Amino acid sequence: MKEKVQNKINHIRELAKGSGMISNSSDRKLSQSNDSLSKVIRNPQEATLFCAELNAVISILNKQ
Amino acid sequence: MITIDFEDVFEPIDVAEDLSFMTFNSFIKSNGYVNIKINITPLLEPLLPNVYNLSFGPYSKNGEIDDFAKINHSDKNKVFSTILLYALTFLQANNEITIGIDGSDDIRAYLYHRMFKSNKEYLADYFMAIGVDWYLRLLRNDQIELDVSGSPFFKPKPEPFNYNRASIDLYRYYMFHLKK
Repeated sequence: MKEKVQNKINHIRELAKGSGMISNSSDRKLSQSNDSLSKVIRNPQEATLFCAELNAVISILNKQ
Repeated sequence: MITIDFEDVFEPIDVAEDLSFMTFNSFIKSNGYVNIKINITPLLEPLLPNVYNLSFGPYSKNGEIDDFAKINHSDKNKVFSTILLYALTFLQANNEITIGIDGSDDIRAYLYHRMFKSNKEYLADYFMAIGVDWYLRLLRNDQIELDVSGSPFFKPKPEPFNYNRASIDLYRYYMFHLKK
């Protein structure tokens, strides 16, 4: 990674440290209510299957 | 077309301690600026523990993010570079997480699709891109599988982002994971 990019990331993390701010619950609810993936995963079995498939894709991409 | 450049981003204003949100000001074409908030929050706790949703937009009247807002940004490249740099910051601190973005409408989904495609080489240094399609099962009686409410029973299926897909052949959902 370029040093300049890593420096910008470090800058954001420095600002975060000790800022004392956290996200509010309404933002979390909004994210979920607008998200189509959360609507098509209806139960723990489907979630487990999706996670397994996602991990398999990540594993493939890691090997490329 | 959007060109991502992590060296040309907006200065953060507020950043949450747990990196769950960041705000910045984006200049708009009609003069002035709009305050944009980026949220990265758990998607389906506890069903999908390692999938987080990224959303962004200006504040609506009730103080929440309006991710359907249409804004004429003066510099779209800088806006999306800022958003993705923030996602990269989050993923460096949480490298087991995969971030998902949902085009709230076809225009946004098209924008994301084009952004992934046109910045393939640049983003490949930082992220692994994943596309998710919804599939339906065809039953032996040639009917499609329906759920209890009579709606199509969609199954989301992720795959490595196929850069050969046409820009109009959108995924239903876009995800990215930190490059190891």
